[in-house]
Amino acid sequence: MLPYAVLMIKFEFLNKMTLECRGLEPTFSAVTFRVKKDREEEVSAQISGCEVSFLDYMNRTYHTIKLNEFQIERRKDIDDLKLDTVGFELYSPEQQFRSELLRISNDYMRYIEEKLNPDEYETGKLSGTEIAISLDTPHLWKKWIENDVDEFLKLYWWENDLENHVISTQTVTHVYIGNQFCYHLFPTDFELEQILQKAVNHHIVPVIVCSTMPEFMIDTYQKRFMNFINWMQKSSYRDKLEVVINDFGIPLLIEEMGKMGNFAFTMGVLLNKRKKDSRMMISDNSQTSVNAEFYQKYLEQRFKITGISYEACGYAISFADRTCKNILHLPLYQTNTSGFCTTYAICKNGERSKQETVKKCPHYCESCQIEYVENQNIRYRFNSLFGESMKELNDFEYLRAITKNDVDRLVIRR
Amino acid sequence: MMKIVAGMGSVDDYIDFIKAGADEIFVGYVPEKWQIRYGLKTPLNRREVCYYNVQIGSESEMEILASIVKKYKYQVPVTIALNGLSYTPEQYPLIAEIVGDCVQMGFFSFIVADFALILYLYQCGIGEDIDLHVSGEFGEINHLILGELERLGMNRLIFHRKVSMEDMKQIMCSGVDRQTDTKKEIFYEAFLLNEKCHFHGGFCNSLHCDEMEPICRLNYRVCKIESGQMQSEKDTNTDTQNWQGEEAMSGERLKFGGVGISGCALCQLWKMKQMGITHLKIVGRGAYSEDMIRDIKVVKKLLLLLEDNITEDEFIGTVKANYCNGNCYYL
Repeated sequence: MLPYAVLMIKFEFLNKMTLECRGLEPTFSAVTFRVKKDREEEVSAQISGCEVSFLDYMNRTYHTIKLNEFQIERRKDIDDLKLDTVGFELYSPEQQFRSELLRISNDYMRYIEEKLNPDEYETGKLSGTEIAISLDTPHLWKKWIENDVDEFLKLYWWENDLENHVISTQTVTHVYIGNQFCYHLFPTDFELEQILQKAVNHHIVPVIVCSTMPEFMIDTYQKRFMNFINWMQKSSYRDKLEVVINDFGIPLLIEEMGKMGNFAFTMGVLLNKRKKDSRMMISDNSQTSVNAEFYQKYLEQRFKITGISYEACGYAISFADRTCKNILHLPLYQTNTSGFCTTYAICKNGERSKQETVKKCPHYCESCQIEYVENQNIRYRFNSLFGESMKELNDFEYLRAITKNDVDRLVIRR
Repeated sequence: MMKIVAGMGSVDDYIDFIKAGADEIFVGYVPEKWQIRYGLKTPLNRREVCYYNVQIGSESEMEILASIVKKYKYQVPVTIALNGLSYTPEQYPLIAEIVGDCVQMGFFSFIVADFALILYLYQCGIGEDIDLHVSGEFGEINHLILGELERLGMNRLIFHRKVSMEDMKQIMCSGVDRQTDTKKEIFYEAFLLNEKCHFHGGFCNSLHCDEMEPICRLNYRVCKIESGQMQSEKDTNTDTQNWQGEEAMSGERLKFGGVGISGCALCQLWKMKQMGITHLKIVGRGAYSEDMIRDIKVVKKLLLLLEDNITEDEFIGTVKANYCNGNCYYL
């Protein structure tokens, strides 16, 4: 039997009196209800109007429908002698009535499922969802290598100001190594081997992160990929190594090297473009080119892309269907990235506009920060500007909903 | 001689730009069927404002432009910019329709940035009937992706603002090898004057609307942080400079009537010619007409100078003595 608040029926009689009833058992196109025995005649013959209200649990509201077409049938099988009640069934062919019946049934089943898994619901676990941290600066690579994994995670959540956030209680399943925005922010060969091995030893899946690949970086990338392959052979790493790409030239390079079988590619955030601005929330911009089926097919066939990265950016976004993996980065979202590093230009040449190709980078971004006025919500990292949206990260119901339906992995970095 | 490609925001400027020496014009065309439904939220090209003369706008303006192009004796071609960074699935057929409308009117070349749009036009077969210029807003470019773009119908590559001369040369050399095999001629365009953005256009997702300054123009300040500290808002300001914005050009630097004050590569023209750059972009949709005319004339003058067998050093010397405002595109 449905709880009383889930489905409420209000009948109007010929004499203009009304009666509220509780919906008991929904079916595809009907719902049963009961009344006191002495109301049997009244309900059987004198109902002139009917309104049904359905609980919308997710949005904390009711959907009320006034039925134009309905029938009431006597159901002796649900009479209750003990309670002295008689049973009826309200039937309607109206499509909206049927849709709402289906919806509340599904919502109720989902609620029961959640209650039967108390850990997930009450302690805030996103079970079945991959959670990733991002090692995107030399500082983090060193800390990862030097510290015990559990110690590192405590430090990571603290430095990201999330030590008391429910997300810090989730099990970390993946570690991102490298930087999506700057091709110079990548561990040395020695550091990389240590980082990868530590991840594997602790059953955390390593994900290699690549930025763009200008022409002069092609040789560097080639060497990096050879290093990955050597490590995979040395350590008997059997799975395909996931690589986040922000340049379509990277899978083409690996194709040229004849090594496509070793890697699985995920489209990075620089390639999944959308309007984002920390100063003004953009509505009605939920879809982008990655939602187009013809494009998804091409990305998979031509570049072997099996995952797409998104960013939570303060407004609702549409994810591509689940034939590929959907990965959501939060709470930082990129708004601008410089091809010639702006931090380098400021530190070396004194002006942000005096930009040049950087072939060897001393990582000025480790010792120099650029700040914006606080109310603009702009963060400067490496060579890029970001906005920050805590709205999604602070809405656990939203995270549960999207990880059930749309998103396979959350990557957390502030 | 390398060709001058000038941005134009209004039909009224076409004849003046041609007379100044432009060899090609690029414009934005946003018909009503796009502007009303999507224009305020998904820009069709990279000019997103409504209160400037940046788009040719209505169909009838485009008809006027088409008839001037045909009538005017030099018949300088007009390219249409469709270089928005991304579109929604339902918008691709409409863009294809707009391309078809433009072809009907007599416009056959288009600048495109969105990879999905390049693919869509190729898959529809429209790419065969038009000249496809891949925009600098496409993203990072290297010889590997170039091959794929050529396969999808690219006729011209517009290098983005953040490519070094060395990389341009390398990419173009690999292009020559491929073209020898395919017998297809590819052209290469480079940014020459104006609007040298600090950030990469292909990765610039922030708003460029009437209501607000672009993010890249906002004031910022530089802070030193102690080594080993995490870059966190709570750990800064050990040595903080004053707030500063996009570097203002002081009177001392504002020389030569302002040619190239917002971005200039005039001294690289000699090298560009040697490398094989075929087209030179003067950015300026929405700029003052007088400034654009001045810029086109200066570039034309320098291109004529290049025809005189001048050495590189002599050329650079001439440019620096007469036009250099120090805001260099390619350092």
